[in-house]
This record gives sequence, structure tokens and C-alpha cells, in this order.
Amino acid sequence: MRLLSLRMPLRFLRGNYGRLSLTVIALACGVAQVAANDLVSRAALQAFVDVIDTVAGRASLQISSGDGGLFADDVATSVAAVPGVEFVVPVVSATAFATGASGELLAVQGMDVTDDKAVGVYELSEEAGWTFDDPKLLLPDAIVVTRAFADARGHALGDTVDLDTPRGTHRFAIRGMLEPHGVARLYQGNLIVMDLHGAQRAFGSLGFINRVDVVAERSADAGRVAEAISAVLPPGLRVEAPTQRKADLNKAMRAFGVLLSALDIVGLGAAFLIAFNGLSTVFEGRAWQLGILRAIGVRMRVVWRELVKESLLLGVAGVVLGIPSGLGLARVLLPEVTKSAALNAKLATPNATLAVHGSSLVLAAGLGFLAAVLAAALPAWRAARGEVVETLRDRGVERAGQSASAHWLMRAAVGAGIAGAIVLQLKLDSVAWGVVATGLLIVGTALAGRPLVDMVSGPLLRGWTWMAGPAGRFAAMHLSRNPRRTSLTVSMLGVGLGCVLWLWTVAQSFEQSVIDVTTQAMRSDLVVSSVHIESGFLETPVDELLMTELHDIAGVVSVTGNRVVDWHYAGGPIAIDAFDPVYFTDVTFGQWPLFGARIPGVWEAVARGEAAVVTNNFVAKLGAKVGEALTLDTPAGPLALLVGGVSADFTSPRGSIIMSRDLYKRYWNDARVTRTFVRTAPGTDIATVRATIAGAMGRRYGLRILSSAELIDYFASQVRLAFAGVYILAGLVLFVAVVGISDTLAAGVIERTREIGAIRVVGVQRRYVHRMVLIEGMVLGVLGLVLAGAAGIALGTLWVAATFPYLFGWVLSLHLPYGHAIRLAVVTLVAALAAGHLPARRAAGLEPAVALRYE
Amino acid sequence: MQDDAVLLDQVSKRYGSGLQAVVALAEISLRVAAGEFVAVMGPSGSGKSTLLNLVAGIDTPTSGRVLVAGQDLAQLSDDARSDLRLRHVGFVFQSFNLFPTFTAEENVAWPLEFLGVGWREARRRAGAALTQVELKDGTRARRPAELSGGEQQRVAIARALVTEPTLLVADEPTGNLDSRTGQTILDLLRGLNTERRLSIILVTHSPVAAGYGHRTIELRDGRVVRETPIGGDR
Repeated sequence: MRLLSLRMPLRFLRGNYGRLSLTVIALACGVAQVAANDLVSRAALQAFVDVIDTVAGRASLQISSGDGGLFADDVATSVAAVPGVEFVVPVVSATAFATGASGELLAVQGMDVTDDKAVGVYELSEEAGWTFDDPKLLLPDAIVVTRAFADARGHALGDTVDLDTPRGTHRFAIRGMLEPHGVARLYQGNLIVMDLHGAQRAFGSLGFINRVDVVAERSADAGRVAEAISAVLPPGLRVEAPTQRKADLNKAMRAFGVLLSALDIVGLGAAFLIAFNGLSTVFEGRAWQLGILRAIGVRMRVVWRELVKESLLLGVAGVVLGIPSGLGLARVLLPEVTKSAALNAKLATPNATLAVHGSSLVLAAGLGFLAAVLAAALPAWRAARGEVVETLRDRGVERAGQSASAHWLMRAAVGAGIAGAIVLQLKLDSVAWGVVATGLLIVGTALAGRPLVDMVSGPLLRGWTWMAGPAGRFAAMHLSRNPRRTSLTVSMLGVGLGCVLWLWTVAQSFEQSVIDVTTQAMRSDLVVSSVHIESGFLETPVDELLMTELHDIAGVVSVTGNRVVDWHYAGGPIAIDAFDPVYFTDVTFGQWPLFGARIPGVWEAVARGEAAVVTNNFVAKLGAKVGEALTLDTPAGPLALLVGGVSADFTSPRGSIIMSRDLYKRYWNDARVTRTFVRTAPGTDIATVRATIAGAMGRRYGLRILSSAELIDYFASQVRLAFAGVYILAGLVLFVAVVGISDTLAAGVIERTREIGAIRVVGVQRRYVHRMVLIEGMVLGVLGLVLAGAAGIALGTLWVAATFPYLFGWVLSLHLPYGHAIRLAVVTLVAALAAGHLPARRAAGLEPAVALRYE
Repeated sequence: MQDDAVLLDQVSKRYGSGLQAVVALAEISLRVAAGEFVAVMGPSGSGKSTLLNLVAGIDTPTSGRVLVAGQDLAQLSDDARSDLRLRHVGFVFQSFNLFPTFTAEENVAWPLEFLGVGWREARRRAGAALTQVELKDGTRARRPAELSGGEQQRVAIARALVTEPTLLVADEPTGNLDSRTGQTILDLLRGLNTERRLSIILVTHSPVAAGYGHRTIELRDGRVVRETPIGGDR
């Protein structure tokens, strides 16, 4: 037999197509998941990188002070004088929103439109009929839009457009249109270019900008130019290359990559277990045939090789089916993952396009083959090495595998490995060890199937006999007589469903932690903010003039503003969560929960601007201590703040600083508010106040007016949105698990055809045979759920307590998903019944005479 | 010695140990000459199948030596014993043991493929072997389930012969067949013995089947209790 000949495996597979199709489906699901996750990770990252590249245009360096931080425009002048700088472009970068139902986000680029070099940086090209030299472009209401924007709305040159800005709704005149080149290709054409002064009036403050794009001389070294620029920048401003931003983005996306890889392991692990189970059963059933091969003179390793070739053929089928399925799955997942990543990094969701990368498909195919071959290697070896005489004699009886002591040794090693990996993760603050612990916990779950089955065999037999009579007894006996197959199915269910529970535990813990904290921190009657979301889940800031107008509404007794903004500290991003001083002294607005040590009169000190409260992830990541000072670089110079206490919030994965908004305004030159909290007089009808606010200023500012409960629900919905992709993958894992149950039950029925025939000959009715198979499915489902419950709690606890905070930065408290768990149990048991239906029908439908002749 | 197809020297086979030990064969010595047709008889549990398994090298003796084609099986590795079986020993089972998903022709051809023979040549030689055992042309593309018991045993014999072995071991080859079909199979075996000088060890319960051999060996409780030469041609 030639090494590469597939003739023998094809002949052996001939009679098992139906039986092995389930294994192929499982492998295909694993391959599809890996391909989809890899393609989606790349496409999402590429979409964010494209935005960075295109926005930067030819600029090699960018100067900014963080999200929304305004600084004086004379900074640009001093930067332009730095040696190695060819020229600079001062920019006001902002967002506006189309009025009306669409409310689409529009990126605003305010720049000196009369400067040809600036226009050239972003590759802006005029359409026929106007030029950037048109003096009307300098009018404060003049805007240039893209052809795509104009066509979508039927606009022509000279038309007016109403847009929501931080200062309310304003009317702008279209003075020019852009060809789809350079920056104009971004955001599906939702870009508005306007003169710098007009942008300052509408979106910031005169004399202030929030970005300087720097074009370095061709011969200059960008790194050295950056160093020289840093030396002349006022505190709080930083210079970075787009490549640095891409590196930061890469870092942020890596967390998603790790999560998706963990899900890949789960998907492939489940596929591996199903393939292992399926191939073990098939090889076991065919052991006598392998005995014949050996008796006639085929060498042991040749038998093994021919069996492994069968698994390769199954791998090919799994890959052929899995790759197109993966492409389909990627299309479904991509928007969800991009949304989740944008929410986590507080970025605008880019328009991600799926590109097919050969390497992703090769990776998925390779792992699929590997899973198939590894799944076959051990069963094939066990089948091939059997003593020929025993194989021929013990036809139809499950053969002993490795010794029990070897199994226990392996379990002990995995247990020790889990403990060691967890300890190392906690000691070294290492995500890698967390992922190792996760992998080992999954392996441990797979290994726990057999002891569980052994432990419950006796009670199971008695229990099912008591509940379902002889049918229950037969079912329980069959399962305990084939402990390897039963435990493999239970392990597969334990791993698959356990991982679903694990992900739900993380999602539930995140959602409930957010609810717990925000319920304490936000207790006002109403929360007023822009209806628009600028990036991630944060509302677009509006001018604080809104607060004055809210004060004047009848029934409103108190108003307090909140500004949430991304900032930087110790070389990375953090969030500033600034509240008006009254918020800290009037507990009726709510109060952030404090954990552990705090300085005396902490909230009063924060209100006075003498101290700040940091979040628990800030402490974990950056090592701040209560009573010590931390210094922030701000646009107005260094700001030293005493750390007054530790709280929790979910604005930035690297931590937040809760401080006085008075202080923020003074140091950041930013008088806008992200949210405004409103308290009404006792006895006032809140609905009436809400309607009055909406009527008086809702349209003008583009406002969303919510109760605190509704705002908290909004936060919770954002968490659910961030985990939406996980639910899709959980569905896939559940599907694979159902395939596994069906596979095991079908194998059991086929193998027992003669036995079932004998039972029928004795006089047992069809319905009892039917019930027997259904009970087997139920037993497998229940045992799988027991193992899944333990695995889900262990994995969930590990991730909530250690891995998730290191990976994503969020510090969570553990909340088990009881509701989801009950639903999962019901769905699994219904699925187990459904999975057992066809095998049960086949078993019940067998004619005794035919069954007895079955070979 | 060179002319011996099989030599068993003081061969014992014991299963289990201590009080649970069962002696399947006790110090048996036996010689089968090249071209000889030996029938082994005895009641159930007398050690017939164990003897056959030891000769085929798929089981190992507890003590004593088994030589096949002059080679001491105990001195051979598992791979070498496999090669010996594939090249020199044909095996026919009572329950046919054909692969259910293979056609009759494939069931015969596959041992040749493991000898490195190309598929076309293997198919041609399988066809010749099936012709030799007088299986009808129309049945060669059928699977075992579509064949009668007699036809299945012809296919099994063709499989054993296709590698042109020097020794054929047959374990109750007529046990699952009616007497008429059984007789045809036995005629076929004796024909092969005389025409190809094929050494045959036939395990059987049937005195009629045993009568086809040159010599009958009777086993009881793992020992040879009688050896009867059968004279004359039939």
C-alpha cells in the first residue's frame, strides 16, 4: 500500500458516511470559528488603522492633548519653527450630526482652507465648479461636503444643511464638494471640511484648536523631530506618530484577539472531543476488521497509518465545509466585533470590510487538520495495537484504555498545572498565565468526565430504574457499560456548555458591576445629554450654557454637569470623570462607592479641587495609593492632586480619575458637558419637567432626556452590545454540543442494532425502545450540564477575578448568570431530546428479524 | 527440516495464572510437511483454534517453539511475523470476516495492495483468484451482505490465496455452510492442495471434512490424543 494512497480509507469510510458526517460538521464548525475569528480580528483592526492612516494623510506627526482637549492655536506657530518641520496644519477636529431621523455622525475637519499645502496633506480634491480659493469658504457657515454626502441627500452647491453641534442646531451652507479621494473616502463620505475659524466658532472656542498635524522635512528623522517638538510643547500636549497610534490600537485589539483565540480553543476543543469520540467509536466498532488486517499480515503501524488517513479525509471534508461557513460567520460577526472593539476603546465604529486572507484560511485549515489527526491518533493506535486474537474474540466489547492510575496521574498533573498557572498569573500580573490556566481548566473539564460518569453510574442506574422502569434501566446500563464513550460525550458537553456559561458569567458580571456602581453614583431625577454618541458609548459633549437654561425650567431645583474625557497619564490612556462640586456635596445626586482606605472628608476635598478619587483599575494598573499625590499633565500645566480614595467606574480600561469639573475647566479650557444631572422639586411631576425640557431645548441641542434608571439601562445595554459577538459564538458552541449528543446516541443505536432486535423479539414494545434512547440523551444532557456548571463557575471566577481585569482592564465583581444558566439547561435538555429523536426513531423502527441479521 | 511447512516443538499455551490458569495446549509437538493437508479435530475447548492462532503467529506460546517456513516465530519481531503472514500464510475463518463496505473484488485485492502491488495488477490477480474459487463474474462487484454464505466463503478463500501463500490455515471454513456448499469448498481446498502443493491445516468438527486431509490429528484438553493417517486419493 503506497504511503499516500487513500484507497483503503475511502473503502472503510464508505459505510460510515452518515455516522461520520456529524464528526465532519463538528470539525467544520471549529474550522469556521477559527477562520471567522481571524478574519474578523484582521478586518476590524484594518478598519481602525485605515481611519488613522487616512486622517493623518501625509502628516508624519500629530500633536494633541487627548480627547476634546483644546489648546491655544499659537502652539502651531512655535512647532512650525522647530528644525526639521516643513510645515504644520492647525486643526479643529469635531463631530456633528445630521438632523432628523438618521442622526448620522459627521466628522468635521476645521483647517485653513486657503493654505494649499494644508489641503494637499489630506489629498482633498475639488469637484468642478468651485475651488478652495473661493472667499465664501471663509464665511462662518461655509462647509465643504463630499459628493457621497450630497448625493445621498440630494444637495447641490449653495444649498443649506442643518447640523447638530455642541451649541445646538446650526444651519450651514454648502460651498464646495469633494471628489472621493484622501480623507473624503472616510466615514462613507460623512466628512465636512470647513475653515478653521468657522470650526472654532461652531465646535470649540476662538483661538483654540485640538490638533496640529506636522509634516516633517523629507530628509529629517521623524523621531528626532518629535523629540525637538516635545521640548517646545507646553505641558499636557504630546506628539506622536500615526504609527504609535496604530501600535496603541494594536495593543487594544490584542485583548479582543486573546478573547477570540480563547474561543477558538473552545470551538476546536469541542470539535476535537467530538471527532475523538466519533473516531474512537468507529474504530472500536471496526476493531475486528483491524484484527483481520493484522491477522492477514498488515503491520501494526501500517494499520495505524491507514486509520489516521481516514481522519485526514474527514479533516479535508471539515475544512471544505468549514472555510465557506467561516466566511459566512465572519460576515455576521464583523459588525458585532467592530462595535465591541469601538465601545471598549471609545472610538467611532469604522466601516469595516471583510477581506479574505489566505493565511487566515490556511491557519483554520491547518488547525482543523491537526484537530482531526490528533483526534484519530490515539484511538487509531489503541485500535491498531490490540492483540489480534483478543480483537477477533472480543468483537463488540469496549476495550480497556489506559490504566486508571495513568488517568489519575494526568488529572493530578493538570490540577497542579491549573493551580500553578493561577498563582503565576496573580504573582506576575500576566495575561499569558491566565490563558494557560484557562486552557488547563478546559483540559481538566474534559478529564473530569470519566470520574463523574463512574461516580454517578450506580445512583444513575437506581434513579432511572425508579423513574422510568426497565427503559430507564436499559438506558443507564448502556451508558455505564460504555464508560469511555459516555464520558467523552459528557466531557464534550461539559467543555462546550461550560464555556458558554463562562462567557455569560463574564458578561453578567460586567453588566451587573456597571449597574451596581452607576446605581449608587447616578440618582438624579433626570439625565440630559446629547442624543448623539461621539465615540464608543460616550455622548457628544454640549456647551455648558445648556445647564443655565435647564436651571430656568419650572420644577428644576438643581443641576450639575459632568464631563467625561479621555486623557493620558503615565504613558497611556485614562479617563477624567469630572463633576461639578455640588455633585460631591449633595448626596441626592448620588455618590461613587468608596473601597478601602480614604482621606478624611474625601468628597469635600474633591469638591474643593484639592483631591481626586481614582478607580480600582487605576490602582491596579498604575499603582496609585491613597494619601499620595499624582501629577497630571494638562493643557494649562502640571496639576498635582491628592488621591483621596478608591472607587470603581467603567469609563476607561486603564482607570479613571474622578475630580471637580471646576478644576477640569480651569486646566483643560473645556467648558462642555457630557451629561447634565437634574433634580426636581419634591412633588413635581418629573414627566412634565422632561416634556418641558424636550420642548424648550430638545431639538435645538439635539438632547436625550433620561431618568437615572434609563441611563443605567443604557449603560447595561452597551455592555450587552459589547458582548453580542459572544452570544453568536455561544450559539455555535451549543450547536456543536447538540451535534455531539446526537452523534453518541446514533452510534449507540447502530452498535446495538442486534441487541435492540433481541429486545424486540422478547416482546418489548417500540415505545419502550424509543423511550430508552431518549432517556440516554437526557442522561448525557444532565451529566454534561453538571460538568458544565462546575467548569463555567471555575472559568468564570478565574476570568472575573484575574484574567479579565488584566486583559481588558475592567475590575469586576462576580455575578453568576442564574437566569442564563436555567435557560441553557432547558435548551440543552430540549436539544438532547431533539438530538435523540432520530436515533430513537431508528431504534424503535427496527424490524426484529432485520436487526438480528445486522452485521 | 527444510521441507516442514510447520513445526511445533513442545508447545504449551496457558491463559491466566495461579488457580485461574487455563491450559489450552500442553506440550504439543507437531510437524506438517510441505504440501501436506492436515485436519485438526476435537471437541469445543480442546485447543484447536489456539493451535491455529499459534501457527499463524497471531498468538504466542507460553513455552515451546513454533516454526513456520523454517522460521522460529519467537525470534521474529511483530513486523516480521506480519510480513511472514502476508507473504506465506493464508487465513480462512469460520465467519468469513469480509469487510462489509468492500466489494468482493476489493476484499480479495487488498492484501496485494499491502504487498506493494499496484491497483490494476491487484485487481487482475484478485479476478484470477476469484475465478479459481469459481465465483461468478456478476457477483464480484457486490458487497458481502449481497452474497450467499458459500459465495462469501469463496471470497474469503480467494483472499487467502491471492498472495500465493505456501500455507493455508482454515478455522472451520464449512462451519457456517450447508453440507452441499461445504463439500464444494472442501473440494476446492483439496484441489488447491494437490495442484499447488499448498500446505493446509484445517480445523474442523466434521469427520467428513477431516476426511479430505492426508492426516487427522485429534486434540482433547490441549493434548494430541490420536493421529490418523488417511490413505488413498479421493
